[in-house]
Amino acid sequence: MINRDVVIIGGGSTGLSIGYFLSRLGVKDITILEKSYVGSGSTGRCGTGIRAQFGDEPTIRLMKRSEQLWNELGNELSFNFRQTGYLYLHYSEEELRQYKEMKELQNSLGVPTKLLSPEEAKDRCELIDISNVKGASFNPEDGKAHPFDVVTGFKEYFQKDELELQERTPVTGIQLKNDGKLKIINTPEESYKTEILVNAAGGWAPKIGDLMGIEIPVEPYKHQAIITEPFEEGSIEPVVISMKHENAYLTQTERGGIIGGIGTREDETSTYDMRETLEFEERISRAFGTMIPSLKYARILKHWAGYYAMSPDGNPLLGEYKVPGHYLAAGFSGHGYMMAPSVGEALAEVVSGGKTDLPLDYYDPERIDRGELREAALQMG
Amino acid sequence: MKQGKRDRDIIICRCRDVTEEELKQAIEDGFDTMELLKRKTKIGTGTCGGRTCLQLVRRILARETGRELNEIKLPRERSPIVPLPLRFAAGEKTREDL
Repeated sequence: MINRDVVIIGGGSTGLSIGYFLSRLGVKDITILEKSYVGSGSTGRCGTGIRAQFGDEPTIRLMKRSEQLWNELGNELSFNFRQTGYLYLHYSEEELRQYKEMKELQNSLGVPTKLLSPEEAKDRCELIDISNVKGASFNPEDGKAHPFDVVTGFKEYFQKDELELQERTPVTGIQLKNDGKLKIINTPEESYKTEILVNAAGGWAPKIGDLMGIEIPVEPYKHQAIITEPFEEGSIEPVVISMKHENAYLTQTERGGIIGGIGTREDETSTYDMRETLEFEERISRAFGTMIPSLKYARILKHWAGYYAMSPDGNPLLGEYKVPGHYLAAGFSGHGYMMAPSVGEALAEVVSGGKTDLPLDYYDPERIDRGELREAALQMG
Repeated sequence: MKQGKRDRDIIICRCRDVTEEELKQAIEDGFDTMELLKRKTKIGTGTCGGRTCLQLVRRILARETGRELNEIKLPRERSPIVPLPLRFAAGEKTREDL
């Protein structure tokens, strides 16, 4: 039995970031448990985008801070946070009006979003067909980072700092002692005793809840994505979004392929099924071909599925939940990767007994049980 | 291997220009499964989708780590089984495609 100050379940971007910021605060007696390899869950399956263009104040603040931290982490952990901007294409006056309002809110919180004419949008990405585009929103501070480079950067930091990160180590059982204050976490080879347990298991967070005998209000919904063969660098610099085309998003990765997916919910019901479907390949190809006609001639290399781990109101669940010393960092509803740095920082501050400037009250998981649902964060991926 | 032929001259993944030397270095750095090697070095992520190189990589990985070939799982097969132009996936065809 190993005693730890903190045990984190989940070696995705969220769990790794919490571990990193704990270590920065001097809390080094920690273990991160990952059932497969780092980034093997939703992190490695995500669309790689990072944006502060949201429609509500708490999320914009959280993401504003996150983008600052993405920059710092990129320098420190040797990966590239490429601030190529997010370009939302608007296809109607109605959409333009709605995004103008959001832009004002974003500007008031220090996010420099601009409205662009169709021609200015084309300057950002010349392959876009602007014949039906009425305008666009663009925040130059948004961008993308390659998930594998990010998790590898964290992993190397943990190795250097001699923090315990156990991969291929599933949690097989959790016992609660002293009214839950003490938690014994079992894995196939070792057991851990801790007062503070952080559940950062993404779409699998409810399964960790099951082991503790509590229900966690997170449901995984399948979302699929594709990547094309690699193209010349700079082919599609910003992350390009169209709410009109099923909330489709696409961009070029650092490795050259065009990656993208659809933000609109694919299935009516929650599922742990991760199989890709032919129907999706057709849907996404139509959407992409309409936004960027030359993409019709690009070849799809791979197609996969991952989860949006949905909370009941589409906002994260951050904070202590139901059992003393049990913290949730889950239910990101499609935004976990981009939020990971500021969530990691805030959770590390709270878990180590300090305070955070971020609006964590807004994300208090107990709100769900109190019936105080928030307005859903702008969804697209 | 022919004598005098250096690992850095041997290209394993033709699409992404990955040499045997780079692969060995990545394996030494702990990227010791096919999934990890693929993500680290880009092998198998070019236009051929790994049809040329993955079996070679598998053999190098077995040799370098002292494992049996059949212990080493290939990356999961995913759709599409051949690189598929988006216009075909979208159900579009033109005369020149036929």
